Amino acid sequence: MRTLLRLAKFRQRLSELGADGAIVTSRENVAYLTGFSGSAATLVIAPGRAYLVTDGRYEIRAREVAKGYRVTLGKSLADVVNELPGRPRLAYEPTHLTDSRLSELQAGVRRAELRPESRVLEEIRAVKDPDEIALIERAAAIADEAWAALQPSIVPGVTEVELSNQLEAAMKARGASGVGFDSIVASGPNSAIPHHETGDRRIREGDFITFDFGALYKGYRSDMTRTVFIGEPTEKHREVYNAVYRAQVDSAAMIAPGVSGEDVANKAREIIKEAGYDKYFTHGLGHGVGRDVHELPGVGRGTIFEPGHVVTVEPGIYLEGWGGVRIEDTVFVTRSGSRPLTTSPKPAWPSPPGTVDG
Amino acid sequence: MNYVRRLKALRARMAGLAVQAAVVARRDAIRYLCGFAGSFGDLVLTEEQAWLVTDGRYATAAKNRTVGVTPVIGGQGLELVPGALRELGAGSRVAYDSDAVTVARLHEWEAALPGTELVPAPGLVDPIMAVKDDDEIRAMAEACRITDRVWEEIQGEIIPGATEVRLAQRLAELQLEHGAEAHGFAIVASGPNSAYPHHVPTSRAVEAGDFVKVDFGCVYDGYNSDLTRTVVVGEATERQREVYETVYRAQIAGCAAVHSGATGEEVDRAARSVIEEAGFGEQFNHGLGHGLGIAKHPPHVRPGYVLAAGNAITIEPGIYIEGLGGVRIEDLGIVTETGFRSLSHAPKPPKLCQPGEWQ
Repeated sequence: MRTLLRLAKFRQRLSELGADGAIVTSRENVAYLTGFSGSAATLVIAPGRAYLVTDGRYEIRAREVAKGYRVTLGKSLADVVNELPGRPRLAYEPTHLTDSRLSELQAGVRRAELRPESRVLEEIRAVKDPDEIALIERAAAIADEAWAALQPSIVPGVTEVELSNQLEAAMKARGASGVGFDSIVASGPNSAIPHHETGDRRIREGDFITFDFGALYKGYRSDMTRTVFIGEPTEKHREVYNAVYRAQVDSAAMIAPGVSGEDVANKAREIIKEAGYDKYFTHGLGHGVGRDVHELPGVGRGTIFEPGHVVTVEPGIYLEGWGGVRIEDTVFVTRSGSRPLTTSPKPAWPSPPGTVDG
Repeated sequence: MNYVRRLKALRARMAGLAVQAAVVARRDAIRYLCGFAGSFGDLVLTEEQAWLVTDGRYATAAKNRTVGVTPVIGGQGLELVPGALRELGAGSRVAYDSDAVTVARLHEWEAALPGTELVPAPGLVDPIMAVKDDDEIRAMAEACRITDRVWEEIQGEIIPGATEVRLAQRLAELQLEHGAEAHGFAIVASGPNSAYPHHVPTSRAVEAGDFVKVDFGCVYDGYNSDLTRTVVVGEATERQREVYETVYRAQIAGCAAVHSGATGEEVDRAARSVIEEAGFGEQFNHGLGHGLGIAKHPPHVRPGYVLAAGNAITIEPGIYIEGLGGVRIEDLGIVTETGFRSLSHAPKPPKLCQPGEWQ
């Protein structure tokens, strides 16, 4: 069972930090360790035993999936902690546990010592195991298929919201349990806003249209962006688009075990700088993706890639009032290099919807 | 929506807590207080000022889709609350809704604001949100109307061979077609899967003899609907009928026990005792209902809560038998002085029916 291997890794890390166990409240971290993804569950990890504390709505499911855990119903967290022998030192997750719950716990816990430890599971989750890679790969394939199916609908007159609804329905029709995040469809001047809120604007001739979207499949997410052009591009459209394209392709090609995230990010930025648009690439190059759409590692300073990392590579250029371009793939770091999990066609020059050859 | 009244009510609550300012971090509470529906932002309120601090992604929405607040835009992902409190001269005591603020955020605020007493106020906005005004009830009634209609329309599709995922997707599509701004969750649980109260739809295809339990809702003007119905495909067994009729009687008894002043415990007991007397007490293993509006919030139909006129609550008993399947029946309605005014009007047959059979 992968989940038990993950738990063993977590326990080892806790002991390195001088903790005897932990209280895990983040829903994604609970699901990662147990396979159980209900909306109300907390883990109490102690030496030799692990509890999944939930309520009756999830009883059967929790017992089925959370192998190795004692499923505990109708007890408060403090009660469960108080059953542990001795005076265990338990780490909690300060970036997930709310102040109210901590206060309740502190009021109810008799002997255990509670201490904050940030990002312990997040760091473990940065390196995916083969089961996780398979699910992200499926989420990526669903997004690719939905993108291909959407192409004929990207025509003048249709609104951003209509396109985003169609894209999301196409992902669900192909087995997605949801969307990886709120899809961004940004057309014309809106494409200059990196996190545009998809709206009622209608597509027109002369528009760049940026689609940033992903699928959710069995708890795992994909993340990809493609930018298409409607009509006849000007020289400036060609220049901006191709700079982003080269930055994306060349930086993604560098990713391999041992390579620094900073070097990869610098590569993308250099290419955009040479084209004269450095000031207009206003965000980081990429981020980890998995159970969360933004997770570790970041593609930048402090990251040395390892096999099992999954990151996005997504340079962009945004010119206010004029428009913008972003191109993004989800990339998996293998033992010997890396490969994109999103594999939709990626033309080198501004192209109309449906263009398949590079 | 009467946002002015809501901010006024929160300021009255601030006075009661003897604080000069309040920080609201919960998404549904922020939307309730000023209309803002973005995924990042906090509301910082003093006696005179109301600042909505968010980032550039939501600059336009913060300006155009809010009422009564001043948008303050910062960098993406930055912590903006301490700076806002300082600039507003927020005073020495500041309340915050501690059930939406993580320990890490609180520590950051404490470090940045020496000399300010941060007062935890769990459920800061809950008592205000709990009593729905006419605009809110209209929005919820419309959300329920859409959901009711979609339940009737989907009947013809609940047939052997239809998969849970496909039905869930159809529910979502139909609700959007009928004017919902978003579809909510959808639990479609067939056959043995219906024994899971919170089942996630799978590719299992409906078979003859299955219970099909459908729990779904949509969002209209920010407000949620929530409806559960259970049907049988093909011939029902005696046991299936018995389970269904017990849940039906419990649901009616629960609704009948609702009125302003009733405790969550009393209402729960009214429904639960019906199920216990039929011998299924162990198989009803969740709460009877919950408060709802922009999101789930108190009062819930559980011990420790007292219902008041204007509360919006669900009544949703169920019986779940591993291997056989389960039944739940749920309506959403408004607590009145004398009873429960259901906003759900989807047919609720007293006997177990096949899809569409009651029409």
